[in-house]
Amino acid sequence: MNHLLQDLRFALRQLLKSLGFSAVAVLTLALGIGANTAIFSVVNGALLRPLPFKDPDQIVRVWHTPPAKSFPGIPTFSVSAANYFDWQRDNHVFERMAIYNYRGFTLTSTAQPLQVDASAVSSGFFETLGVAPLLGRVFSPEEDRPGHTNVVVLSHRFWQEHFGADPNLVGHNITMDGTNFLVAGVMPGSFRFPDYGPMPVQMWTPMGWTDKERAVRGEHHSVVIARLKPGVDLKQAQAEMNTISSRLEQLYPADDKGWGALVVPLHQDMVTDVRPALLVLLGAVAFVLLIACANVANLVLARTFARQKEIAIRTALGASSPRVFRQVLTESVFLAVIGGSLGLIVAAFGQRFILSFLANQLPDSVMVHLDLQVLAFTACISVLTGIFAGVLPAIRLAHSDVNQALKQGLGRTDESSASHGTRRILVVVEVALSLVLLVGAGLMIRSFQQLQRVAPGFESHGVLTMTAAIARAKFAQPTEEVNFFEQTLRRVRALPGVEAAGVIDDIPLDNGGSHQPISIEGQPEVAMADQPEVDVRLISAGYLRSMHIPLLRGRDFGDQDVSDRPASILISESMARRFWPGEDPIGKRLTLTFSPKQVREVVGVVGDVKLDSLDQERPSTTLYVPFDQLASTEESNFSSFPMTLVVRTATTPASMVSAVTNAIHEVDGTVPVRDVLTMDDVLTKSLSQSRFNTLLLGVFAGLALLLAAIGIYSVLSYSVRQRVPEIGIRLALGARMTDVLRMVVIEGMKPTLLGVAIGVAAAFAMGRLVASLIFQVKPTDPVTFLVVAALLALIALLACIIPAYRASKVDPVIALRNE
Amino acid sequence: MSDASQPLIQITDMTKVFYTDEIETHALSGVHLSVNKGEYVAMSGPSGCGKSTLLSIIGLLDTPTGGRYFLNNKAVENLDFAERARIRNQEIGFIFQSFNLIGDLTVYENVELPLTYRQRMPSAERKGRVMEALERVGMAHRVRHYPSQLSGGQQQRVAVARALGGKPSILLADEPTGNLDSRNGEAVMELLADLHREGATICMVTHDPRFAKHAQREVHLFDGKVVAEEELKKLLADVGA
Repeated sequence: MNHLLQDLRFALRQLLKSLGFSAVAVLTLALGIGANTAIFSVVNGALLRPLPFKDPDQIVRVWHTPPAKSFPGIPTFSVSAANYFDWQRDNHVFERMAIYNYRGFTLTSTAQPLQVDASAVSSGFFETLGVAPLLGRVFSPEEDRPGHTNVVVLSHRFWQEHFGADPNLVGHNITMDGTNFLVAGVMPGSFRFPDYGPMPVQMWTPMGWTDKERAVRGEHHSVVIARLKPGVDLKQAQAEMNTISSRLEQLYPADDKGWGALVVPLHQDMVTDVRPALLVLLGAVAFVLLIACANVANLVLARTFARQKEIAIRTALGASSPRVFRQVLTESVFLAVIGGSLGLIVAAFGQRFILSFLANQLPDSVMVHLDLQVLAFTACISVLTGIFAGVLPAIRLAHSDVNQALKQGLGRTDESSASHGTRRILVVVEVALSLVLLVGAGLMIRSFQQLQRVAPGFESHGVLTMTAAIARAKFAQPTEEVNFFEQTLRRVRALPGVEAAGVIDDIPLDNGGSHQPISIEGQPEVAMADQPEVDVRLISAGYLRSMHIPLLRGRDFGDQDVSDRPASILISESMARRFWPGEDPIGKRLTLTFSPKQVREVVGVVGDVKLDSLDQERPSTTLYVPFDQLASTEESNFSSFPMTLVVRTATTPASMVSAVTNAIHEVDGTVPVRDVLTMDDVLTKSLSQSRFNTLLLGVFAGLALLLAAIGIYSVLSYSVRQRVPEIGIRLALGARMTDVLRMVVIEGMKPTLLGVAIGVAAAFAMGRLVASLIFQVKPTDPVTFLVVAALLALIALLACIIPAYRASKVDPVIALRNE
Repeated sequence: MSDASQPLIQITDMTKVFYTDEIETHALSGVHLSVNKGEYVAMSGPSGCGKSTLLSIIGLLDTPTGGRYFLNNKAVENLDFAERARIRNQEIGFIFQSFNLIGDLTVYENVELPLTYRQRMPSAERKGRVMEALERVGMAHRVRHYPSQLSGGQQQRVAVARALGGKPSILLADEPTGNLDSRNGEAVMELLADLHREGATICMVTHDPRFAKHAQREVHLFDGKVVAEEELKKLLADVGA
């Protein structure tokens, strides 16, 4: 301990003595360690830290797997009510099972009507997750029956924000959609499941399905969670669900043919979208740290060789090799720990930056903090970095020739060719690692460029969108909802600056929308499972004009597409090509399987629109149903639903927000408005993951490039200093300045080019790791490789120029006198 | 410090050959040397005669190519690095021509340094030894100074204190006055003479006959061999030195 304190004291003195060296090394390490800590804190929160539920490893999600023929490229699907109840009844592997879906309410017991995101949950939902309420109780099985469902459990945040955390609220009523709901309980703050988009659910209410709803097998709207029985593993659960699914396929071929089940750990399922990007970024940032380590090792090597004499004296006085080794390592670890401490500051900013991009991708249950685990990680990588950076210098010094070092003058020591070789190898490693990162960033940039070139099928500029959050019980009849929006649109279209306005149930690129099976007139009738699926959107007249979606054939929806007229539809170009190749689709007829009473006629063909995302690979087979015909399509148990207004403006869309909101409220002041966005915002949001990957990998690659340049520069500068007498002799013997320049540049470029060659090979080998993150770019894209290699070589050349210039300015008289 | 009747250093037929590319340089060629405990031996000879090489081998900083070397009756010519470090630390005190103090350590810390490499020496004992050594060389009032704040003579006295602090069996001094002016050089020689009078065993390399006279015995080296004084004179005359 005493020795350690002595070494630490000496290390501190050394750092203070060479402030320039210390600052460069500490900053390099702070950047490397800080970036790692920031990414790790997100990875820790998203992928490593258990969910805040009881025995979270036992909780799974059970998805449907749809028939691949009808749902190309869609691996999992929501669950139908009847299948869920069969799964629940027939399985022997789950201790509990629960189902939930989204439900919107309008809270009217507050000053302003408020749209509330709720989750309708089946009996046993909270028990499956193993969470207890903070206040009050959760739902009883009786409350999951129709007629008993006017009861809610509030989220902690909602209770705090809207009811001032009033503990007396439990047992009292709140009014939503004009009905009283009993507040049964309040959940703890850590419970934020499930989430719908960026906001966590605000309250829970019982599912309360009727017998009729419980028997629906062909419609898939809900999500299932389950808790594995003790001793049952995922494989066994999957096998059991496969057996049950096969049985259901045989029993209900019309609905279930081709539908399977997939059991996925809940945690894994929640972070599926973000996991590949986080792991690639974690790898990238580890590369940055390795480069930082190589750089600091180089700096430490240069400095310790300047201290060779001091180490020789220590050795002469009896310091053993391990003792010298330990001292050098203590210094580099001390350096790294200071770097790590500063890195925490870098990490705090970095984490905020990362989360600002990832907020939409991370489930709300995932909590990201710089907590003890992250601090332990930082401490570990700091120490490891110090060891890694110090081990080579320590080995070299602990085994240097003491006698030789002692014979040299006080101020001068000669570096051995072996140690110089070590430093060159470190540069090769740095360059190779940098090239891999630069290639990764280059591929991301190319991919991002490709994405930006994708035509979404509409013109986003100049379009304002906002959702009129109509609650389920707002309108008793479809005509009421149609009337509401007709009146609203009339007012909006009359506003100065509005060019066109319409409504749609789910705007493109916003992760919503439904798929439905269809049967085409004139084609053989098949079971629902064998029917083709298409995307279905409900739109009003004016939507296509607002979005500038081109009408390619036929006509747009108009005044004639109302409930008492023949049912009409518009279809996308891809849908026309898929179902009527080489034919004119106008006048063709089909039936939406979930609305079998209506035969619909194709009245127009419109341009394809990217609905899911810009990198959507599947064809946009979309069918548009006129909103005004809603009354003729719906069943008797109608529930009203939100629609999004899409308004094309002649002025800045943002300037129209209050006017459009007022138009809605002039028709009905109790309708909440939410998700006010321009279509440009929606487009930007849809690119956020890709932009984030590109930006962060770009930052890491830039950092790597900078560190590699510093590495090349420092090695070459040191080498030139060592070779001053030799350069003096060369100049004395007649070498020209250009000869010296060339000699030094070649010396610097040799390890660079070797590093580039190794880096190219490594980047080729690692290409598949980023394959899932890039769009329309091959992981071995030759343009990216060439540009990156050239860029790296150019930066290396620039890093060589200053030392080369200095070498060419050596005064041979002075150099030889010193020799 | 010693029993003068016993040989502390016993070297027989020692050789040292340096190999550089295809050239062999015989730095020592069959050296026989014995130094008794309490003896003060000066090793002299012209530049390149092998005296510093011999001192390095005696100090276990280097290993011989051939021959035997007994230190305190223990064969030490083939010890591993760690064992040589341990013996250097406990048995040998070095005084270098260029002082070799560590510039980033204070006078106190420089003298303390070899003691910190010893296992389990209580800090109180360490402190006692450091202060005793510094007082012995008259530098106790400069404990907080750094080497750069001292004159050459003072630095060499600190180096002597560092060599004494470990209470070694032998002090090895390599041209201890080489970087000093004559007044400071003389003072250091008197300090070594005092130490010898107190019982220290000293081996000193010097090319200056004035300082060699301080020793009890003078060993002359020429072309890697120990020669008698008369023979050395003749050899030097032959080569015109």
